[in-house]
Amino acid sequence: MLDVAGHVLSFSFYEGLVFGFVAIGVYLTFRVLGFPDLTVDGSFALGAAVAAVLIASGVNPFLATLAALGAGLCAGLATSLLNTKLRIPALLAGILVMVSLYSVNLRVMGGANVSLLRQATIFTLTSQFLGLETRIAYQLVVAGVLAAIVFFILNWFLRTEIGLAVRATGDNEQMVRGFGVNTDMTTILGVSISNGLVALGGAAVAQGQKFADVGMGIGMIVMGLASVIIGEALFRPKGVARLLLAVLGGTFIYRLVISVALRLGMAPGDLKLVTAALVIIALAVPYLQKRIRREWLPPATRW
Amino acid sequence: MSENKSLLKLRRITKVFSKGTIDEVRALDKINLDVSPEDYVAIIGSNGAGKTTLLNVIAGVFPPENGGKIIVYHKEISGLSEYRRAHYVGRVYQDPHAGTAAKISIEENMAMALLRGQRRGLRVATNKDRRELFRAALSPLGLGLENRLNALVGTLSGGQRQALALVMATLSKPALLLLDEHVATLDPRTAQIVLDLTEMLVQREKMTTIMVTHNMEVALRHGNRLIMMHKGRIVVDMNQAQKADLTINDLIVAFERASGEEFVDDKVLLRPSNVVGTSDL
Repeated sequence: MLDVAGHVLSFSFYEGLVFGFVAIGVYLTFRVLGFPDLTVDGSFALGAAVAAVLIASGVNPFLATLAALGAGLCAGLATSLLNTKLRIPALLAGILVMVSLYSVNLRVMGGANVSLLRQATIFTLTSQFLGLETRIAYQLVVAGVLAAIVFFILNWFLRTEIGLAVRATGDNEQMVRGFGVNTDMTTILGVSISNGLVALGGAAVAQGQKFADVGMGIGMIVMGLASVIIGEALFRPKGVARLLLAVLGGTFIYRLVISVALRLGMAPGDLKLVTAALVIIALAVPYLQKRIRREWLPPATRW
Repeated sequence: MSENKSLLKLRRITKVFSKGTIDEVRALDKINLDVSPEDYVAIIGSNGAGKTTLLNVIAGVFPPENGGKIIVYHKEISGLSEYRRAHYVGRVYQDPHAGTAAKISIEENMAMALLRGQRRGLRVATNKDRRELFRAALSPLGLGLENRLNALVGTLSGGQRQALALVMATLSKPALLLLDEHVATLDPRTAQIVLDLTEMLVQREKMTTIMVTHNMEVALRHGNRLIMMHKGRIVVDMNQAQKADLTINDLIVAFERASGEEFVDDKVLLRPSNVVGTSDL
């Protein structure tokens, strides 16, 4: 029994880290930039596809993972260019790129999926290097190190002059322009970084499960949102560092709840419905609370 | 007011909204204006006179119609986009929420303002020296903001935010300060505090300032020059000596005379209260 609990916990911890990249990406667009970016579903699978195909063709897994990050950056670049340069609404720009990426991913993989069985991955390479035998142990180490790197870079970047301008853009774009910042550039930067992180998550997940599939990105955006909302609600973070940690923590809790639910007999196919319901409840509760208190509420945004 | 000494020169600035439709509005009509260095110009006028549009054109929110020229320091900026003009132009808006960012801290807002028009790099935006500078800039407000640098701006009151916006707009000393009815939404007491603060900052930094206001008393008491706009034109322009002994009543008379003259033709056809549109053009 304890064994099972320990396994569920450590596996959720691992998943909290690799899917945490996705959640941080979603956090960057939805919360920091106020840019509802739906590219995520496509860029997650893109990261997985690029990493898997490169690894299968003999490229070093670490390089392949880096390439996946680059591919994600490009996906975010496409979405943000559609929005800033062609003035296509953010929501639609994201959907357009997400749909396009479905075709792109099929082309990249030359089919619907790529297997990584018997291929070296960032996980197996590290296990050989460190001499770790237990799968969950070396997966945790690799995911942990990756997450730490991402955390430190983002925690630094978001507090730099450029990073601050990115954050302020989501807050008050007019003011930011008034202080001489090209807000098209800060938007492009933010959305690109976000999708780079999402693709990094895709690359890590694909290597962890030893295959990439064209459909593996479906629902990632909702999962990311659920994680962000849980993190914010549970930890009520202030400041850049705590926010990032809260998002990672939220992802961990989300994966833990899902793992437990699956163990208790929830059909895996119901996962996305349950996640969506979770997000709906989380978004609706504050509204309903205010309604009960008869507070004034703005009409729903339609982006 | 010799022309080549001017800090800001506007030449034939016209702005037409909804061009070519029945809703066409000529918000600015061939405006020429010279503002000398260290001038503090108060602009009054009724709704729709073009005051805010004038500030928007100067700030680069939208371009003037073809042929209009905006010159700051002998440099034509008419073609520059808004963010490229930030180096020259600081602005405080009517809405206290517009000039500050709610979800970042006071010091981060100040850091955004400090780097006005400069290249932003990969240094951490706030550091010890900058915090010192921010405290020194905030303490004259007497609001205690200098001790709350880490507070989120969203937790401040409207008056505090507007005072902060004013400090932010002037922090890196742009050539030109634009105040767009910046006390209009504040309660009378807070409005007075922000106005006094404006006076202090403008005097201390010797900043060239254009202040748009609805309030004639404010326009009379502040600034060394008073401009009245009506239907996209400057109809009254008084220097310090001319406005010195002016009362609000004089101003109303001047306004009626100026706008009345404008509408001489219309009056023949329409009752004055029905005068709308731009038929005098």
